[in-house]
Amino acid sequence: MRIVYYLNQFYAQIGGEELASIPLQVLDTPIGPSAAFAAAVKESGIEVVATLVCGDNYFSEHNEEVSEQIADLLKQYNPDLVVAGPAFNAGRYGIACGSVMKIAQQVLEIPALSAMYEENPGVMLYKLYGYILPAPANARGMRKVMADMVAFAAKIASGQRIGSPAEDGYIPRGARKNVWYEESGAVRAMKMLMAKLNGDPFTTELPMPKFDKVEPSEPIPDLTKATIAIMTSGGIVPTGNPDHLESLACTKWKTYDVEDFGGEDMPNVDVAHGGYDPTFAIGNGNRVLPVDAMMQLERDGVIGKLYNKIFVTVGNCMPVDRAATFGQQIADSIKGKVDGVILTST
Amino acid sequence: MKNMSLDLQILEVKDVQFGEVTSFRNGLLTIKKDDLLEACFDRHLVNYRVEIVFPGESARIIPVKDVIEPRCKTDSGEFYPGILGGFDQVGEGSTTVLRGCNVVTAGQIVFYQEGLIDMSGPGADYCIFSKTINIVVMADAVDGLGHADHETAVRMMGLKAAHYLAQAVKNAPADIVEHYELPPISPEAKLPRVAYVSMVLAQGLLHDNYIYGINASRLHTMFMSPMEYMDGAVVSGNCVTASCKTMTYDHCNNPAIMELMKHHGKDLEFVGVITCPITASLGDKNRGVMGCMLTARQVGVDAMFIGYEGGGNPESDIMMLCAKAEKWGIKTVMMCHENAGWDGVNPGLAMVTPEADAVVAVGNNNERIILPPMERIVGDLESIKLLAGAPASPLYPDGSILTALSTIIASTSNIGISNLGCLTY
Repeated sequence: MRIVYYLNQFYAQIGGEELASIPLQVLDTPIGPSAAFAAAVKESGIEVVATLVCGDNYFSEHNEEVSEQIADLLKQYNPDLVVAGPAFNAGRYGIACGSVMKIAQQVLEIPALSAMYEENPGVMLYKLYGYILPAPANARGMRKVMADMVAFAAKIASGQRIGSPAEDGYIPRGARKNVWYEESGAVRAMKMLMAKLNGDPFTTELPMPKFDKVEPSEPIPDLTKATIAIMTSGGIVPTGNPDHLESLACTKWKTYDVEDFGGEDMPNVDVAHGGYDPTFAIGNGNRVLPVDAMMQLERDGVIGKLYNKIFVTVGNCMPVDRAATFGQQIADSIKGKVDGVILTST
Repeated sequence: MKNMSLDLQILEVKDVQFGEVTSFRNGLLTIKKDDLLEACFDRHLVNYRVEIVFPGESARIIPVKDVIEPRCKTDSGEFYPGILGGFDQVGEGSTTVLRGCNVVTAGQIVFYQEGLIDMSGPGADYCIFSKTINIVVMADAVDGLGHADHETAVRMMGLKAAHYLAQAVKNAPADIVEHYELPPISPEAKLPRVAYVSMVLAQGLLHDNYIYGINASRLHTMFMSPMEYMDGAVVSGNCVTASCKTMTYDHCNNPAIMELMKHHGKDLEFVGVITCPITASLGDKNRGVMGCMLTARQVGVDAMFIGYEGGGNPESDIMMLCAKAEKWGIKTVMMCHENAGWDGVNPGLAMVTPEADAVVAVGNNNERIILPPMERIVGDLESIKLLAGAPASPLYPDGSILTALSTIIASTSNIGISNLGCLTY
């Protein structure tokens, strides 16, 4: 089995925070945790074919560029498994390890393995995309974590099926996995139906996604005195995407002034969204984010005022949980200042 | 009124061989090959052939279109009412069943959504037809035959082959007689009244079932007896993804119907089967769901046990029905497979509804499996490249196959055939 390993600049023994801005590079010889891992798995017929290293800041600030490079490198090295970390409680490193796992899962469609402290943001953001083993908050637990990762990789290499989180010790992913029951689907359904009819407890085997029922607010009594904000999940950003909004599964929302886009005609616009053809919105952001129409309504006295901040994120493949969190954060930030909001999507 | 009842005269088939005369004795089904192939004749087909494949054998049948259990009425020898046979005694009287063997139609591919059956190895775990002796009938299309005519010809070939076998041995003494009847239940028993809702694909473009020989896309929701299903009223004629296709065998042996029959009179009253075509357009779906609801409310049911066929689009039909039924106080349970991606990270259903709180998960059919090479290929191994769910380069040089479960016949069937399930890990 072939493995590509990912490390940050610190664990690759290049340097600390002062070198967190080094770009992605490939090491032919494993180093640090990658070397320890390579030595431990050698007997299981597993080979670390390349070690990728990137500065934590560089990864975060050039996410799209680095992600593309990593996808290309993975295609080139054609591994059977990608291993990243352990990242302990290092947030930027955890997110980088998670990003690498996601690329392996989505682009190469191969399994990925990492280890992190349970509160590392990389766990919450990326656990769906691979196996993250629990790690202590700091590197003092390195020896034990490496042993766990080696054992896990060896199990994958042996062709054995990875079992449940309880059986194999990884952090629950939220991924669906086929299992065998003692009884057929029809027998299980019959039992479930009888329980439901008798008012006994039963557990669905396929929970439906949760639906938040949002009660609409009362109508705005007098629009001519109201302050209205405008927001979009269409990824309309100032030219150059200075805040690096990701084109897919975006991790942030940002606010901009009309001036950041070059004024009412919205000429200084890029589209960060990776899910639609941006041709018509680049150079005229009003096509997605109708600032011109809103300002005209303000001048005509139809609305009292257009709120001076514009809220932007990218909705493309954003997990629902994260979108709900963003919505709550934005709502908190405008509460008491704004009477109504217009949301535009794509 | 005399209550309706059906006796299945089961001939337990333990071995199948070719021989001089088609006969059944002591578990051995002997087939006169020439007579079987003659029975298969269709003017659209040439180059007829038949092979017998056994459980445990290093064999792969590909591409498989349908699996049919040989059955016929014991007295008249007729079967498949509206297709090969008439309508006398459908769902009642006596029916001869050759259990343990199946007719499998294979050969040239008709369309993408056909599948495979492995008789041993890891793929065999996912398929009930890996455990039966399979009489595989194959033929090639005449030049210039279109998809629809090809499908019809192959479908008819399978039905004719199965019918030939059953009627040829129908007078053999049964090994077992199974009696099916829904005795009337006294209202004082206060048992919950349950209907099975059988949603069958009827979307045109080779996504069809035939009920009494009529393409179900031309039919409205109807109320049927479970014994009509056992007597071949519903025949598969569709090319939906292999893993969630209901084969003709499955219609006759629907495990959900069988389960409800077992419970009838004990802890529930099985009122019957509401058959609803799964159509393509929203208007027709609304009509189908309305039909289910009107039937259920007129008959008076407390619960619906919902089984269906296919995935993606048909999920709208089951979710619409579930939402409506629960709203009217009819409790539902349904069996669903998922398309959750190779690693289970994608939303598995195209449509959901919060009312669907009792769902049995029958498997993620995107999950991958490597099927090792087999010594014997019955059909055409290259056709794996065209089957829905196989990756771009599914064939390894040694003859093994990398594929999703979606290419394995009935592996994630939504009528609850197998023990496969799916959990969130």
